[in-house]
Amino acid sequence: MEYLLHLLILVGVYVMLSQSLALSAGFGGMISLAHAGFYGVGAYTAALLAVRCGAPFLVALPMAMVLSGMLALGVAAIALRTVDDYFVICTLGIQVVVFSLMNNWMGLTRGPLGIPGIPGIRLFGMAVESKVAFLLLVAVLAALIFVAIRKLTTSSFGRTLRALSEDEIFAKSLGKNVYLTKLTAFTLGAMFAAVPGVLYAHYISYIDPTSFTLDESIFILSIVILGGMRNLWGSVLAAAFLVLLPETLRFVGMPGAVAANLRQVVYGGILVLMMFRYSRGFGAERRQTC
Amino acid sequence: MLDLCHIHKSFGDVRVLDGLDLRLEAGRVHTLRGGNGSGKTTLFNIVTGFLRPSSGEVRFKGRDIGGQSPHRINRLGIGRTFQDLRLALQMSALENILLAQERRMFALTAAADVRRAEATLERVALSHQRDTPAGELSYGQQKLLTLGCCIANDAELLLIDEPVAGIDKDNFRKVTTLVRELRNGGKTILQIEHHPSYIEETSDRVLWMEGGRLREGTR
Ligand SMILES: Nc1ncnc2c1ncn2[C@@H]1O[C@H](COP(=O)(O)OP(=O)(O)O)[C@@H](O)[C@H]1O
Ligand SMILES: [Mg+2]
Repeated sequence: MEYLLHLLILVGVYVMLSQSLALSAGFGGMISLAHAGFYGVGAYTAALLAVRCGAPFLVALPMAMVLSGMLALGVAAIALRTVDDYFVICTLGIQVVVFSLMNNWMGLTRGPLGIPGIPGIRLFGMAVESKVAFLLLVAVLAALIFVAIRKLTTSSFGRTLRALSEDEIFAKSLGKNVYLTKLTAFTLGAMFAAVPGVLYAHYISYIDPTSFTLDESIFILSIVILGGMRNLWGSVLAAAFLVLLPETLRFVGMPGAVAANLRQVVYGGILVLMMFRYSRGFGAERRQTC
Repeated sequence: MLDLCHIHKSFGDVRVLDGLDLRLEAGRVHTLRGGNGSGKTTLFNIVTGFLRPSSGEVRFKGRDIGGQSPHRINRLGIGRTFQDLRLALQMSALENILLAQERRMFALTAAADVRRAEATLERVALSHQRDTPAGELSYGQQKLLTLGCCIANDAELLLIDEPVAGIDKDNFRKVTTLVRELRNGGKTILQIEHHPSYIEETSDRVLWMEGGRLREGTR
């Protein structure tokens, strides 16, 4: 039972990660490999604030979101202006930089040693100690993020985002500030990604850089792709499926090593699927000249 | 309304516009003709901010708009269509109109917004295709939809690039009627078109583009 709750908490974390990535990558067409980086910024901010300053959850959460958002804003402000079509390469760059900061900035992050002893969450004077209580908190925050992203994507903002991912020139001709819209979507996505980071740090109580690698970014992207890019419920199901898949394989008696490899094969397959889709789908239809 | 002064535009060594002058009168339909590659679309791209003139001045209602970004220029009241049909093909006809009419960055779609968009769809004779993805409309219907997008946010000046080129008779009539209605509604229009009877039925003034300049008349 405890283990099942643990898995559900992880599913919740990946639901939040995939929803937030769906905003920029799915609706805005800004494929990003930096999402684990923003997730990590959230986790490290919360961990350091809690361990070094004793900051409570409700203080650390907005600070983590702001920090992650600022990083996204800074990078995207440059990347979206200069290298539009190579945006994904830039996000790969952010991911690598964030990871190496976590891994090498010994004074701040303790590098590969990680940060142990992260306290649990206290909310309104009560400790969120049991797994059930933690799962509830995760579910509430996941639901809030879901609703926020649903509202954003069904508003005029979401419509502009979908339109510019098809044809930027068309969107501009209708008075849309394409640059600002993309910048906002990417920043909001990174801010939302910090939320599961904060939760994860408090939940696991020990974090190190290995949880926020490029592999992890690819995994989150795989969830969004499997979920159908712009389908928020699809992302929820895909998160559950991909998180629970290796456990299920183990449960039916497949040796752990084989299951882990199979997992990689599944992600690889999903990425290939994406290339396929993109070469025929909306990515290919984008036209840039007048 | 719109004043162009000594517009020059070169692509590398190729001079496309060479000291072009043009003054549009409010409430009139002006039609540009000219050979293929004579620079008509380039002129549109300059007025709407997609290209910068090499030199020259673009004034809209007395205000210098040269060098402004396309979305700003649209918001000042200049709408346009594209020769090569630009639409959000995965979005429905209605959503394309909603997209075009929305001004605020974050706004939920109210029932009144939908009604307004439906009224625009009605004007371009596409009510029956309300929920069809733009990509599944016929070519003529797509042209009508781009006109709908162009007028959806109440631009005063409309730049329409080849509205009837390559469309069937039925939609030809619809476009002609629409453009006449727009003129009667007080819009200023600059259009590019070659079709003789269309020009006859819609235009107040016809201009011929050659050698990077405009002159009065059809040739
Ligand atoms: N963005 C561009 N870059 C380079 N050359 C261009 C560009 N746009 C137009 N041209 C060239 O300018 C000339 C005029 O094109 P255009 O304005 O599209 O003509 P028209 O609309 O009158 O047929 C053509 O020779 C075309 O190749
Ligand atoms: Mg042309």
